[in-house]
Amino acid sequence: MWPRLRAVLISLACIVALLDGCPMPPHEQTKAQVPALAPTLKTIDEIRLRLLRPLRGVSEVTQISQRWSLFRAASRSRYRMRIEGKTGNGEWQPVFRAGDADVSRYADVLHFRRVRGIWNMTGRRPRDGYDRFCRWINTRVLDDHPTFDTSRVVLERIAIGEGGGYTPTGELVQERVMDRRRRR
Amino acid sequence: MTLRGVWSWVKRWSGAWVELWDRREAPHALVLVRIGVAVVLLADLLATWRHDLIELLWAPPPDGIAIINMKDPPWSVRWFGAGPELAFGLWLASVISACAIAFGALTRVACVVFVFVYAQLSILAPDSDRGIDILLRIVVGILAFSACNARWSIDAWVRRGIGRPMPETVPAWPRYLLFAQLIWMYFSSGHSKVGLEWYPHGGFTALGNVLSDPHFARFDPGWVEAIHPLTRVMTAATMLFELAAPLVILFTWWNLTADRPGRLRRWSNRLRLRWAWIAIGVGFHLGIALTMRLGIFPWGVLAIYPVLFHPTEIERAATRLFRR
Repeated sequence: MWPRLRAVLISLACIVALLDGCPMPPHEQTKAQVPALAPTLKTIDEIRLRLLRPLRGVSEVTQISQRWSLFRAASRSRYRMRIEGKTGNGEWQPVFRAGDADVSRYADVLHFRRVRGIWNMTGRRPRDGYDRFCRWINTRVLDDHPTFDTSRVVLERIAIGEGGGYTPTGELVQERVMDRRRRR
Repeated sequence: MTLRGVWSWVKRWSGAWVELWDRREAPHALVLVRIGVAVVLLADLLATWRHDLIELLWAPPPDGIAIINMKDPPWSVRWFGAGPELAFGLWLASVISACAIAFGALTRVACVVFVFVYAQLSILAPDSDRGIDILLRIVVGILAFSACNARWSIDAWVRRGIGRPMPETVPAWPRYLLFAQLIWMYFSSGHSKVGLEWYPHGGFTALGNVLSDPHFARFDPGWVEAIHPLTRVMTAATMLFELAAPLVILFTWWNLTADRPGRLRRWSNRLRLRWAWIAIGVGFHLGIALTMRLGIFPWGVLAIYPVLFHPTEIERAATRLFRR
């Protein structure tokens, strides 16, 4: 009896995992690319989600899923994170620049995978924790550099060349500035 | 086909299915995974402490930058309240349970505790929780149901001491499930790669791009230009490796039943396709570890690789190694 029951339970676990990991494209994407298939795919996805609903609690409490995406997109348009400080109206002085061994204060901490996950922007918007991260690192920079009046975190857009390497574009995005006088 | 024919077919296949999950084997592969995964997790948790990041990652402001949904807080916050004490408590519980898994002490309890506590760390710092953390939670969860403590563990030592030693063979199904998990992870990663750079019409430039990205690259990107054609070959190989992952189940089956007839089986074994796939996988992860800063990802996945081998193969390799 037990071997059969076990085989059934394992089969169910495999089916649930496959349903969870089933690659369903977003509805907007299918509507734009294959409009004829969009309603059918939407129905299939709704059935899939309905079947998974009773088990949502398990995946929430264990934080597991079966959708894997390792370097899903690896486009040539990327960003390079910089942390800088300045005194009065002076020039920004670099404290950290990703991938630059000459400006590598905090590099050990910032490149640690758990921290990079917060500041590394892969899509169009920064991650949820980006603002909090910037507040923390700006505070730390101002504490460690008493001569700085202002500190900032900024992402510079870079263009990766067709044959590798990259060129900075000068375009700065997601700038977060902290002024020493208004820091808290 | 008659109804009776269908019934006998269903009966035969369901019998084979039940028999598959009822098999037993020596525990070596599961034991190696238990120790390897626990060591990788411990190294990562200790690195978090070394960088003084425990409060920062898992405590809410003003002490840290954790994100807590106070309308529906996780159980750890409901029971203990958010703050640096909770952050440290969860981290310590993760370290202790990972240690217990590594040494095989109260292994099943340790695995269950680890999964639930580590999941809390993920909820408190979702941006810090990467794919490898999800994968290792699944692996430890499956190990909780296995006899991965049957060798090289305090549990086995205690059982021997009280005259109830662990059995020589243990259920093989947890290894099969971990095998399937590894295959699915690769296959899922392969078919979810949507960027053109991974495909011929994008010039297979993905790896070259990633190796030039200053957020991930370990070295200055100058060297990538010199070997760019090679990175294109490696991008194509990565896609082939990931999308062909399900075939490894077949390659392994053919390899382990080499004495049976069949042209495909013969060719697969002659070309050593199973071994080629495993070698590419090992090379792929070692290459990542060498050239990119991806933390525990390559080591965490490699720690699961023993499940790709039958315990008799591991025993044979160990005998050969130690005889030298």
